[in-house]
Amino acid sequence: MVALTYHAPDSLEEAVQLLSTARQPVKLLSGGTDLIIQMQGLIQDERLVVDVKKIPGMRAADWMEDHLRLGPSMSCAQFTKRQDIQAVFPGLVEAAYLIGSTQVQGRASIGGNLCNASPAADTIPALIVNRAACLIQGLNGTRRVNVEDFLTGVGQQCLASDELLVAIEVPNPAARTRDAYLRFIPRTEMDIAVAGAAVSVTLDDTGVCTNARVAIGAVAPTAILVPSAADALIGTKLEDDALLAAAAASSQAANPISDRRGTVEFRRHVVGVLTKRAAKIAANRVGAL
Amino acid sequence: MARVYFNASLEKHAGCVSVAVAAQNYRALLEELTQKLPQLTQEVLMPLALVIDGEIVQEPFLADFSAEAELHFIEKIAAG
Amino acid sequence: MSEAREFKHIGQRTIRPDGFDKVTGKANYGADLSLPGMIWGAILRSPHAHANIKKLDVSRAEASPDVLAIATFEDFPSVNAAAQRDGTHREGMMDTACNILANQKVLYHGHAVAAIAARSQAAAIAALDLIDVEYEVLTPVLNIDDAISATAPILHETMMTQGLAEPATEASNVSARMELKKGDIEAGFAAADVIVERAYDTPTVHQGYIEPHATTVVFNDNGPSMIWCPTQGHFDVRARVAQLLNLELGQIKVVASEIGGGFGGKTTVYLEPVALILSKKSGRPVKMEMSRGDVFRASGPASASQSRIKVGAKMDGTITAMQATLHYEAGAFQGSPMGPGCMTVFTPYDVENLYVEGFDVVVNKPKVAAYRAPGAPQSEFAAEMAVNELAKKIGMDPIEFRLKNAAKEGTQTIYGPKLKVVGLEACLEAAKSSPHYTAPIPENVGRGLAAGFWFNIGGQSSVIINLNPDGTGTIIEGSPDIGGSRASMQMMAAEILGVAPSSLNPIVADTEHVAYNQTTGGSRTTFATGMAVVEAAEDIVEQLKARAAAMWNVTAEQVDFKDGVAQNLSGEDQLTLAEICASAEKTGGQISGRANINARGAGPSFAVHICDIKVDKETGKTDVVRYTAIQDAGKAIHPSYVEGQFQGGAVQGIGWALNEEYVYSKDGIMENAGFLDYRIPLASDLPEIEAIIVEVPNSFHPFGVRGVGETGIIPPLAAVGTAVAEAIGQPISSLPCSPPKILKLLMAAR
Repeated sequence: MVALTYHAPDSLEEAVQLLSTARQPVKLLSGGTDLIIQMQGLIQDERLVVDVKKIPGMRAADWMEDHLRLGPSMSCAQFTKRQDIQAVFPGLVEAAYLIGSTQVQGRASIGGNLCNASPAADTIPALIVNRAACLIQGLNGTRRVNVEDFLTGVGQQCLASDELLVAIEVPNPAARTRDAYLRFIPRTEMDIAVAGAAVSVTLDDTGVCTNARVAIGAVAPTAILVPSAADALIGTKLEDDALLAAAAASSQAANPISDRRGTVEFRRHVVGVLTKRAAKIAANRVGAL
Repeated sequence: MARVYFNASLEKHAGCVSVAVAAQNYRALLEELTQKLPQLTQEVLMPLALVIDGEIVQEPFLADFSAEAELHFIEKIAAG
Repeated sequence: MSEAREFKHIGQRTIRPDGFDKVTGKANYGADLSLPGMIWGAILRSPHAHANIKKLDVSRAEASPDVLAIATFEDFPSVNAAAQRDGTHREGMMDTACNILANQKVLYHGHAVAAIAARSQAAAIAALDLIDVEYEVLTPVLNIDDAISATAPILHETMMTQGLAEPATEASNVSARMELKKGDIEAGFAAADVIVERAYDTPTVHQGYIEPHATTVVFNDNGPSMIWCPTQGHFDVRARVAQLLNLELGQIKVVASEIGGGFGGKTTVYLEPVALILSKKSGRPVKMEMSRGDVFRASGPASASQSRIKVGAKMDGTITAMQATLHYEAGAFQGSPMGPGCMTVFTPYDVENLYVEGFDVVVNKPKVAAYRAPGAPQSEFAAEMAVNELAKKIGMDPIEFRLKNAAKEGTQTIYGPKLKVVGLEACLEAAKSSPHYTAPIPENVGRGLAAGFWFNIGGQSSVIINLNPDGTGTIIEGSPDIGGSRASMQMMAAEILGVAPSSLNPIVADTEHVAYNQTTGGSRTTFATGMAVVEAAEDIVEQLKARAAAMWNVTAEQVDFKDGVAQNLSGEDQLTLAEICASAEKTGGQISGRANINARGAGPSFAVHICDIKVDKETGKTDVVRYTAIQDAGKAIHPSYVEGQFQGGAVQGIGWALNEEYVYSKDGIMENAGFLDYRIPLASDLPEIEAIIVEVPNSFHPFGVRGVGETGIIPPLAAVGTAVAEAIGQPISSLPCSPPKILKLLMAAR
């Protein structure tokens, strides 16, 4: 028999209580743009669906002293409209803008994108290069986990059964630092990344890159941070040689599969191209400051 | 007399590239052809469309043509 | 018709009569009908591409209170009996039946095995688990090379190749061979200065209609059973269901719902006979729907193909010989459009020496169905690619090269007839002077051009026009409207009757309210059903004259009828159509006209397309930056819908060329059965398709109409293929030009 139970708790305490006492398998619902599709094939299974959107703060985005506190359920449509965030994290905003269609954007959320843990999730590489961390609440308190450590496999993250993601904290970037995200799809939209790359660079006044982070998506079971690609950029003025070296490092770090969306060779090559191009865009953004 | 031209597939049955016929309508044509060229049976011809002077007639049962007509049998064209 | 005529309505851009309901969501499509007491059917589909059914046990399902009816192949008794009598494998009802519900063997992933009806869709789907099937899995045959290899597993033990020089003695996956020739092919190549010979392949693609197949049926013992479904040919649905279930035509009524795209794919039956079996057994109305995945896996896509083309020409640009060997995948049952593929491949060219050989090959994929100009896009793609390469080798502009060799009135085709007046040269001239072709090729852009030919057909159409006492009326036709044809019918009738198009309401009647109509396909509807509308309207004009004559007490010969007004030639009297209708009661009752025709004289339509493409050299991604479609419409009744057909055909062809393809695992499981990974072009992917209508009238149609629905999908494959080849400086031999494939070519060239 179909036994779907739905709860939409008003508080964090209630939510954690629900999660820790549930007898049936639990699914956390944010925008539902992944979950509802995934559940269509599971109509015979017992499920507890906990909708987290009504918990205070889950749909807000506020500037704290040293970071942006992002409510995981804020819709991409609301998020991408925030000029203040766009000014500081243009790469993260452009990644959020790529999720789904205009209609889907009204529901889809960055927290959902993160917890669904698709290898091809667009916002994850952008969160990683911005050193974002997950604030997780469980029965026994809260803990902080960096996004790159939050993900453990295809569709897997480290949330325990009594835990939920309550905030994503993105530290204020250093001076003269900007990010960029690019993905490859064969069409112009409505598609899933065949490869993706996010880059954040810090440039000094003379244009020398003093710090960088590179993360790539859709080319491994999880999005991965690629320090070797960042190292190829640091200390350079992002000349062609440096960009090619970063591209090669990303290609090297990629561990993709061949499937209906692309081959191993294709993904490996293209993730390098995207790294190079994203680095250039990020640098231009710093230059425009 | 009207003249029937056979394509490569029909040539195998007909044994010739073309033949003159006295017939001036489809029914007489079938009768004449199957008599003159016994390998060219009604079973082979009936499913085909008749082309009369370049005009494809998908259902030629009642079709007439002139003594100068140029005739071809072709596969009926599928719809898309 | 030859002289240029002034038209009042034809050629205008009126508002389509079905438009408002469609854009406001009021129109009823296949899945929109629900009836009191209705239950749902669901289909159990094969998880394997090729397997023997060792056991099909429905006893657990039969015992379940949730299951209201079950259908299997055994429920086609007449087909079964015929097959037992005959024993041989022939295309026809047996194949259709086996495709609808598998008979002892499943032949593709998603092949229907059995069906269940239950009170809800979810309950029916859940109950499918109660059917026990034991499969003996066989090696799948997934492409032409595998299918024709000597060691290939045989799909049909009784299938022998037809059309060989010597009759076949062993079963084969090649169902038929066709050969067409003209002139002396050897001598033709001997006379050539330059020869291009290349192999090409194209993938399995789907029409991609947005509306999935769906039906609601009611079996009725004491009158006609009802079938509601979206189809291009409801009379054909009736005929097939009647044959499969051993019913008389009069025992079935088929209502064609509004249709959300067909493109050839809705010319056969899948769910309808199954639903009727379930309805008969349960005594309840039954509704069935395909999911999007079902549509991809188990409806009828278009053939994958392999072509080898050889073309020779003299240095002055005269083509001396053209040769093709064409293989078409038919899917699980024989019957690909290999025949029309062979017939169309070289028809745009007036060449003395031609030779074409075609093969129809079965593979473990769904049985193909028609798709716009079935068979022609595949073969003409190969021919046009080779022609472009040859033109380049000789150093001639591709339009000049085609003009030098263009098919024209009197050209002897390879399939038999000589062409009548056709518009290829006019299209080439229009292309040459088009804003697109005269614009310089931008940097980093490749430009491709290709021509296309399709026959078009006529056939049977029946139409009734009823006039009301106030002069308004109804046009009752039986051709499902898949491209704006109701608007065209309205305009043609209005032109003859001299009334406003909006005063005539065109409807697509069910199979009981109008006589037989051939399926909407072959670009026939505006031509053939249009002819029937004209004839029915002319029938009315004669009646109007007689009625006016009766009012004036003169003979009908003394009455002229023009622009909707009857004129007494022996006096000053005038009566409008509405006035004559208003007095119909006095002059012999109400007025209606009819026509039942089998239209002859369909005019072929040629097209020329121009495509500009930019390629990202680092990723292989293509971007169509400019596209122009030029085609001969004969006469455009409603120019907007003619342009719509050109643009729609172009977009589907571009999709075929760039990203669309069925992707199978080595076990024959389709891996991209959805629009996420089966990539049809999005609106944002393409520029506005510039449409140029050429009008070289077809003398057999009262207004000069040629069909326009199909030709437009033919040229894009080679126009795009050539543009990509130009952009990357490498030959293209395989579609789609997907980024991984293009990047591989670019890397190899480095």
